[in-house]
Amino acid sequence: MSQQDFRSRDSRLGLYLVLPAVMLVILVVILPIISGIQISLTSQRVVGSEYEIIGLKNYFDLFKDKNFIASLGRSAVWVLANGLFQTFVALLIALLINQPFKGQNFVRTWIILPWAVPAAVTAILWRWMFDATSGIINTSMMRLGIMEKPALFLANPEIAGISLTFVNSWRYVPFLTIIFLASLASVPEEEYEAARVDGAGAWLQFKSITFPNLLPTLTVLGLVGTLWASNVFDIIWMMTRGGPGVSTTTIPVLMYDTAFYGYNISKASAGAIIFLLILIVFALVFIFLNRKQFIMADETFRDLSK
Amino acid sequence: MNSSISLTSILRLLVISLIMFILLAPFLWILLASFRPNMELIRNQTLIPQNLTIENYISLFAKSAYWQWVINSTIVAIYTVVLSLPLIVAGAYSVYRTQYRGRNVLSLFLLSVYIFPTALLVVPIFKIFDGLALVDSHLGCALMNTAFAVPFGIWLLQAFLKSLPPELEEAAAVDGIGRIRTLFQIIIPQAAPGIIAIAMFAFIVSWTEYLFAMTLLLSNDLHTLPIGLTGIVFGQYRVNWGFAAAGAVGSALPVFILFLIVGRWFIRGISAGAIK
Repeated sequence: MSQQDFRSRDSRLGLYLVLPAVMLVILVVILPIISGIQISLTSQRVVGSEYEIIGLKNYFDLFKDKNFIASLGRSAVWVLANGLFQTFVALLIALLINQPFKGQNFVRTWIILPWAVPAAVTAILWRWMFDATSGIINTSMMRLGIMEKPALFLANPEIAGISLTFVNSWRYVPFLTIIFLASLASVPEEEYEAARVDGAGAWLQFKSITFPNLLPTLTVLGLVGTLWASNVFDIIWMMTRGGPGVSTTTIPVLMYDTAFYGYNISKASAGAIIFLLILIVFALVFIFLNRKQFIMADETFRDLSK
Repeated sequence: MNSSISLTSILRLLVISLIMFILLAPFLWILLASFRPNMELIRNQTLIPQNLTIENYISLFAKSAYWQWVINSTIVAIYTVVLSLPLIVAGAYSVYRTQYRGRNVLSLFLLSVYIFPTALLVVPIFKIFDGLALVDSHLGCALMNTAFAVPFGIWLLQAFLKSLPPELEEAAAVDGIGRIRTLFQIIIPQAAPGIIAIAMFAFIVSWTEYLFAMTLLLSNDLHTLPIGLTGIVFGQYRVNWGFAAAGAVGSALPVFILFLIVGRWFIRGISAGAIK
């Protein structure tokens, strides 16, 4: 078999193999987006009801809607607080538990439990822990005399967002930590040994070995983690429904509420498309700024068929 | 010198213990609460239970559709795993071990699934799935879960696939074994730990899923655990915490058992085989 032959057969095989996954993504992502754009250009209120085509009116209405703009702002804060913060904390925890210690295997297995249980369980757990009259946090703090009055973790508009960020991080940080741990385990031990021989200290080792090796993982989690954070719905919905007032109403919560409780699916779809466009711009900029990482993360096997 | 090292290691152990306490203590607390009468939970709560009861579990097992929900959740999760595994293995092999133009773009395209504002586009999904007779079916729900498990699953499998030496395929090619046979007979057996981890990932994605199940599963007898649980817990004006706690324990328990059996494989399967 000539080399040219091998390579072209390789490329066809590669395409065939990834095709089913690509088609599934098109079916459940691209088609709904197209359908969402169509709905957003109409005046449809509920699925199956009559409607007229009204062009971009829903979009113009949304840009004039103070609540929508405010929700965009809350979503931005939510993404910063969750996406960035979680990645950072997970990296710190991974570095902390990467070195051997007694009980490391236990930690490696069970740290992930908060991520592995349904969000409904998480919501029950933390609504119960945060409860003003019978929650363990408030009752013990009051008994210890730290506080005089119970803290309304979910009912005080000023701290509800912080409480939700904490709960959401409690849920996702363990998963991100495990991915960082796996990535840390892939760093060749020889690199550290060579550095130690050269007398490099801990910080220098981190800067010149650990960090560059983690960079591809950090980049992918930076992108995917931010997208995950921006689309978080279940935890917020089950814990506060966007309240008290609108203090925890991010875009996903607002649009879900508009579609199913405000009976306005066309307006909700328009909001969804606006939000989607913002995320696409973010993703493209992020990928462009980190293009080296995305290509490097992928080119390891370029020499396989040579 | 020596004592300062042990001081930092003690400090490190303390911090790790604190982190694990924050992550796991709520589970112990809810487990304890699930065996206490609701009245005791509402009034003047003491740290040590005064009375223990199994009435919460009797309500859960006998008066709710708990077993039906467990079966439904398991069916959806098994569908999801069975659909995801071939797509992930084939996709990851394609992206990380074959060479063709556009691989980079394709792998990024797959990850772009997570741009999709799920809570916002359930309406069009519902319309499309309605046309395909996938509404009110566990399969339809599993298809959504699969679509969201596959892209990240492909990425998760890369470390393990990359750690396999390229000589595997080269030797097979020299022996005249085709790439498909190489994939099935050489790569897949070698990548078994990675594939187990991916199966766990897909299972958990499905087990914890809320939004698609809530939107697509209309009939009560098709509801999964998260839907059933939120229905009984948050449907009432005043939450019955004892009952809610039992429901939470009942929903977390299957995952707990899964982790007890195969938990230590997870991290091993998503790293490059360096963890013993």
